[in-house]
Amino acid sequence: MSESDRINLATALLIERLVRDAYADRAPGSVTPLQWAILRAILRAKADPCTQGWISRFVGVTAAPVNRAIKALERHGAVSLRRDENDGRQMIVELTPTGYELLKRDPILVISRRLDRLEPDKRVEFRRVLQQLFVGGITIE
Amino acid sequence: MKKILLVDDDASIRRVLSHLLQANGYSVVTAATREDAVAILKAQQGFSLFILDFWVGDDTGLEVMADLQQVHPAVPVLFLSGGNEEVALETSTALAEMRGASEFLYKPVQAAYFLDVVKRYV
Repeated sequence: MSESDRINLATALLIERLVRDAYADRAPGSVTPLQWAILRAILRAKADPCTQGWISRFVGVTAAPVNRAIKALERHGAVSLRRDENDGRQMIVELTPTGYELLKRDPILVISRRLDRLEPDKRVEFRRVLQQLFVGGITIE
Repeated sequence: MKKILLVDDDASIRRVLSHLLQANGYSVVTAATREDAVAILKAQQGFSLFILDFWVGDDTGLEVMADLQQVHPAVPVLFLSGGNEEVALETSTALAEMRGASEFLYKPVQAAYFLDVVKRYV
């Protein structure tokens, strides 16, 4: 392994660790990262009917694990499900007051606050590099 | 009359949204590609809003947005996307917001909601 590869791997590990540590701060076993992503997706849905299919498309995960995660969130009392009046095959997922409360403790807020502590020019630079990594992935691969 | 540039490679979306916007008093210029959008901006002035599909042919709307903002940095940008098999809507939304997009709407969008959002910026 070249010196450059070794440094890149160490950097990748720190990025992964940054996120994993944020989730580790939360009560273990209560809400999984996918469940958090689903809660955020529902909050994002705005006027769109928030069906299980839409959530699956939003988070980029296939239907089966998304449906299992929604059922778990329903057991937590964080979401409620009702049948879509326009399409009886679809279930619409909505946040409950518990779900809204839970989102106030979203683990990614920990990372957001850490970013906020960076000096403004460092924050802008970090965003620029991060976008480059993602947009490179979108347009090159 | 407020002028909007709509960039989408799907002709049916361009037709439906143009009709909706025009019926509500907006002037609409459409482009199907990034190159068309840039050419329009060179030829025309006075846009109040850019509405961009996130996937425009082989380009992302982020690239189109960068082109447009070089000429008109203060014009708000509203993204629309139906998603893509390879990139989650969550990712495209975050990327657009990091670049300063004003809104990200998801196809199919409800007409009334779409118009409400447009009104917010124009």
